[in-house]
Amino acid sequence: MTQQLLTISDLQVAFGSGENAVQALRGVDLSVHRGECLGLVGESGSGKSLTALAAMRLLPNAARINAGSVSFDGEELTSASRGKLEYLRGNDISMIFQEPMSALNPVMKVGDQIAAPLRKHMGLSPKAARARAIDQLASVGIPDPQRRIDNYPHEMSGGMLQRVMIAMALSCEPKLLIADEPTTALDVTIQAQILDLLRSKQKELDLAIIVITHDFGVVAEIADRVNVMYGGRIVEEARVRDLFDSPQHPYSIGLLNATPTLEMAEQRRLPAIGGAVPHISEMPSGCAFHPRCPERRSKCDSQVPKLDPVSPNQSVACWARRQSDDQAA
Amino acid sequence: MTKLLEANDLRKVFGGAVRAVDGVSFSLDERETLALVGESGCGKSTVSRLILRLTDPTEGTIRFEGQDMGRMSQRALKEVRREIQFVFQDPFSSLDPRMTAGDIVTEPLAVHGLIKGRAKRRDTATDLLKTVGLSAKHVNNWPRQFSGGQRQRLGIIRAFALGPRLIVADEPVSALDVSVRSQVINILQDMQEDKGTAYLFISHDMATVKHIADRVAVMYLGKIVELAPKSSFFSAPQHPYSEALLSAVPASHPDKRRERILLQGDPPSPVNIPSGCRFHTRCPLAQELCKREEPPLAQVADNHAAACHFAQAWPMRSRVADTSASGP
Repeated sequence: MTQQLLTISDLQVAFGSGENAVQALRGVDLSVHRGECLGLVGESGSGKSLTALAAMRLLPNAARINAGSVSFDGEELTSASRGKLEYLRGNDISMIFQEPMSALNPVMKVGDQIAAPLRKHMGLSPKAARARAIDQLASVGIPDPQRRIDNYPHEMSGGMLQRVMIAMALSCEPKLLIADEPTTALDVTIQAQILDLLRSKQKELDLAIIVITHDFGVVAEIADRVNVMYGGRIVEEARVRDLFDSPQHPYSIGLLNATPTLEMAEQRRLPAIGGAVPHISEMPSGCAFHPRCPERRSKCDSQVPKLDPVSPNQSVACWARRQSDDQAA
Repeated sequence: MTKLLEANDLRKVFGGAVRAVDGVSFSLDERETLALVGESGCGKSTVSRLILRLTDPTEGTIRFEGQDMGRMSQRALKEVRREIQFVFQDPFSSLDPRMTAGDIVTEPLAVHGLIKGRAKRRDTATDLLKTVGLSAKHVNNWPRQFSGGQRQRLGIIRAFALGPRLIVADEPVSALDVSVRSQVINILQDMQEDKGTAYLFISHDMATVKHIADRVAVMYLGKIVELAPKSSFFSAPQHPYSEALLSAVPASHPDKRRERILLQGDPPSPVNIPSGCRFHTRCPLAQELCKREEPPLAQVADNHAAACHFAQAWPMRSRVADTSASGP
């Protein structure tokens, strides 16, 4: 059995406080096993990026963790000291973002940016860090790394910068990489290259990856397991094949149907989900998806369904999937 | 028969050196949807700006119903502008935040003097809003009170307000949440059926293109490298770049991960377009000939044109690889 590396339980995060507080994460449960790639799927405002930031304790100032726990490799992070967190970030957990151009320092050579964590976290000398940075660039498929190491970010393309970000994120051999929409800003042919790179690094380094995305195509390409988020909660958790073969939550079903694919049969109209993604300040009561749900029951607008297993590898938070409860009600 | 729109050898050079559009020709029939696809920097958005006359071509002509738009008087051009409208990518920046929804959707009519008076304008606005599933209660709302999908609907009504014959839609759904994209695509198709409008649909998303287009034009570094009816394009693409683009589309199921045709590196800069076939520096099939001679966009099958010296010589590889055995 694989061992759990990251476990998040009942995580609640709010912006602001008192009466004006806006609940952004409303009890998130998720876990990541060693060496696996977890796809965290959701639309704008679902809380997917916030979950990752909360796990790394990098929340913006206005946001606070109100309840819940984040346990990484046996350590509780919600109460960890600053020093401990600094050690973990970089050494054990690292992160890459959607816009590599804005995540890198524009006035610092990429080689120096890759070398910085090597010196801080691994205590390498400047010379050793530079040599290692060149190896890192080569390992993410950047041609001519000896020359490229002295480039500034503006001298590189978006795809190459994302490779630099990956090199930097993996330089201290972390156990977990969080990739927040890593290919959204890239062209499709470059996206394919970056996904292939992430997949090969996962195998090579036995790396756990959380890929945050709105795109089921990215999930199908890279994830081993998937968590679907809506309205600040996980609404479905499954092995990737099970999710695509038999999605359970009406939201997952709707999203998969509404995503055009190349293999899709010719049809005049695309299946659509009605309504719009709710803003976090106007989250519906009960199950947040109920106003848009084609399978709505009477209790959906008042009671929050828990994530319950429907099979050993799949859980769903939906009243319509609980036959016994429904008959009793 | 006169085509609705005919672009002939369009060129646009920025700053004397950037050949953003480098000899593009295509035509559009009434009621037809032509998708223009390609990666960032290929010149597809510049083509849309040229068609809308938001920028003038360095060379080449655009004919609308047979008339050369470059030789029209200002007055005639204003008339043609009623016939060619646009929908932009970002519904957050393309609506004036200080105009109400009712004013936004009726502004084109007011500008062209087709409605007068507040009451009339309000009634018209209500009718227009209803055509895309909004209602009278939205007339006085501000753009910020709408979701992204609703804003894009306002953009669509505005585009259709003057009864145009052609709408240029530049990535109209890519800024929207996945769950509302299909709503907007359906509205675009319903409006087209209802009004008989033609679309120049600019997109990087091959799956959406496959759903919405009648014909597909693939651009690479300022040129169209393949132009074909949808069915023959998706079943038998003839240009290696088109094949690579299709093979890069993410899988629709973990068991259908594709065998990729990996392209080397990034597209070259439009300042420094390679000799011969402009794709030869990244083409997995490139030969000596490709470095020397630029292949013309030539017919390779019925209505199917490709700019490749070896268009029909290479057997098409199977794109869908069964990787079910590689799972954990």
